[in-house]
Amino acid sequence: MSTLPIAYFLTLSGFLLLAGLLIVLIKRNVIFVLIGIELMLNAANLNLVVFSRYDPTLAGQVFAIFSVVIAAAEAAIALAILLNVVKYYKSSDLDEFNLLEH
Amino acid sequence: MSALSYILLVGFAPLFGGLITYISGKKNALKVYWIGPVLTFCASGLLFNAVLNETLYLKWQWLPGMELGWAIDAMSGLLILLVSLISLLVHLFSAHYMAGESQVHRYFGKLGFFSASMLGLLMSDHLVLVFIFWELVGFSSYLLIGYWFQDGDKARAAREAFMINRVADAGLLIGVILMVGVLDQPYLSSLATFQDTWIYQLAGLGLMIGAFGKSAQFPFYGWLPKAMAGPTPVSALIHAATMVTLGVYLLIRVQPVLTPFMLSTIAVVGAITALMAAISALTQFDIKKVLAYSTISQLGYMIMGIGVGASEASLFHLWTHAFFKAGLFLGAGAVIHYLHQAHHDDSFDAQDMRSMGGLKKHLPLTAVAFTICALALAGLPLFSGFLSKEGILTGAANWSLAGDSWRYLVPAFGLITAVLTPFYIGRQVLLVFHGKPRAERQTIVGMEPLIKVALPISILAIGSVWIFHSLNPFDASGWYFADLLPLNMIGNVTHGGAGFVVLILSLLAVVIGLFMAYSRYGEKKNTAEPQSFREPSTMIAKLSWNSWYVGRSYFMLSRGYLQLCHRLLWVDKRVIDGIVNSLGVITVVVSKVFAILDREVIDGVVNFAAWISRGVGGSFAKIQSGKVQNQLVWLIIMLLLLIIWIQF
Repeated sequence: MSTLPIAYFLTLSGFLLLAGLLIVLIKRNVIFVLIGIELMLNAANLNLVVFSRYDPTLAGQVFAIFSVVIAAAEAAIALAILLNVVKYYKSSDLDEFNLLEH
Repeated sequence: MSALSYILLVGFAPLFGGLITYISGKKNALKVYWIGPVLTFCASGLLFNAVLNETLYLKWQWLPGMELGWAIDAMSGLLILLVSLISLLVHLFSAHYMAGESQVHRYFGKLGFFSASMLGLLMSDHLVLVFIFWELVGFSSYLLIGYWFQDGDKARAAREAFMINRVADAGLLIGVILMVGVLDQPYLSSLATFQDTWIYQLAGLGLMIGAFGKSAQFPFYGWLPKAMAGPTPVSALIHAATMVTLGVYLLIRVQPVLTPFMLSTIAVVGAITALMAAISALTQFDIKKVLAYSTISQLGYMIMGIGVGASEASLFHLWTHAFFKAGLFLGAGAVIHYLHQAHHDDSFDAQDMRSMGGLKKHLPLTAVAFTICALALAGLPLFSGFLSKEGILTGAANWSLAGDSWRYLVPAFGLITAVLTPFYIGRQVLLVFHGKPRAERQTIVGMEPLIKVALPISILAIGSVWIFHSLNPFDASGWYFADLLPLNMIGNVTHGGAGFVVLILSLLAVVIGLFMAYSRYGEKKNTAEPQSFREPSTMIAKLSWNSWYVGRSYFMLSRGYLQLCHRLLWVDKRVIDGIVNSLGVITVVVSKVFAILDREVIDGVVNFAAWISRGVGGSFAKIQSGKVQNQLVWLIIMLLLLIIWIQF
């Protein structure tokens, strides 16, 4: 089985991380921000899976599965919180959430 | 009775009398005017009786550390008795003289005030009290001179007399301050002998000037003729018998602290004043002015007597002078009052001797009394004036025998005055009472009522006869009251020495003077028309008529002073104000410069610091913007920086 060089995966993972980061930093809509966060999480998961190739115990892949599960739970909780926040501010625009502003 | 009750009684009786007369108003004033002086006279008699043997003292604390005191010895008691007697007689006469006045209650009120001040002064022991009463008598004298204040000239005369006294009182004030404050000799009754220091000279000079002012000595005597603007009884009481002798009284009292130099000065000034005033009296036509100048002249004798150490004779002369001069003034008052009644013409000058003459037919008693008093003033033997004047002249002669040759000037001046005195007073008697009337006048009878005119004038005339003063008509030292004088006085120097020569010379002087007067103004010669009495034209006569131009020199002095004031005002306005104003301008300019400096530099530094703080704070505040994404960006940047820092 021909193996792709690990650099490809790491590049993809980096790309995903940066894309997610940019989405988190630039996008105004909270849903997109959440999506950005999921992207960054998945970039981390990809790294776990890729690096587990060199680990005979496959602990990385197991950890990735756990991570996906937790990510799902976390997404559910985050969405619930977001719903409440959107309901409170009557808006999904992140700039409107100005409780921290002085 | 205690000292306090005596002092209250004597001090308040005249004041009380004046007050009730004033309160009772113009209608009743002539009914109650006598209460005050009679009470005062009785109180003074009691007081005199009490102080014959022992001196009354009363001291009390006026301010903390400042004691004032009264003291009445036999000498004060004697003078208090004299003042209250003359005051009583003058009150009686005033009731006649002022009967037609509308403001007569005001007149008697002022007279009571004067008597109270005068008696207060005679009872004072502390120099501060003396000064207070000194000013009070000066003020009441001013009030009385200006009694007819509606007349501008008289009000002006009162002001002038007052102002001249003020100038001299400045000297007295200096003397009192030095005596009380520096020399610590505030009590007249216990003065220590002088020491030969300049401060004693200065204090003596101050007291001397004060006494010269009140006693109308050269160069202050110009106020006394002005004071004749007051009612004539006032002139009799204040400007002849009592107040003007206060300077003599003060000098007798302060004699222990006067240095020999001061005493010589006093003797010389007294002699000069006596002569100058006698010369001034020679040519006057105003009946009161003659008497005023003769008062100055006689006061000069008294002052001279103190200077030569014959204080006892001076006091004796003060005593006799009070009688005959008050008598002369009351006689003059009777004449003036009679002429006022006899002439209804407003332009008629009732005081001008040129329009008198022959009045002995109209006022027989006044003429006799006036003549007796005039002879006493002239110094004819058997009258009181001879005794006391003789004492002073003998004292002066003995004094001059004992010292340098310039001292002969003093008795010489005294003797010349003794020639002039009988001349001018003889001239006055002849012009007023003898000859034929020089102006048409009605004959009025009953102008010499018994109590109000005849009694006072007779008492004063009788009091001018020798027997009431000394048994021997040629011996001044035989004065009945001579033993009463304070012990600290310089001994009686009128005995012995030149006594006999002076006696002969003064007898000669009186005879010459009276003879000259008679030969010039005798019966045959004074029937001339009033026009023939012209104002004098020769230089010496002019000098006499204008009284040595002393009034004019006051005028020149005050005008010079006024000009000096104007000059100083100019300097003030131009120079002082200029300096002050330019100082102000400079201050404003400097302030403006500093304001700019403040605003631009000091404020600039502060504002710059604030600006930096704000900028730094602002830029850091942007990090904490509250925007979640911004914070995240910074978070990541910091994370990256941290990583880089750890890595490298």
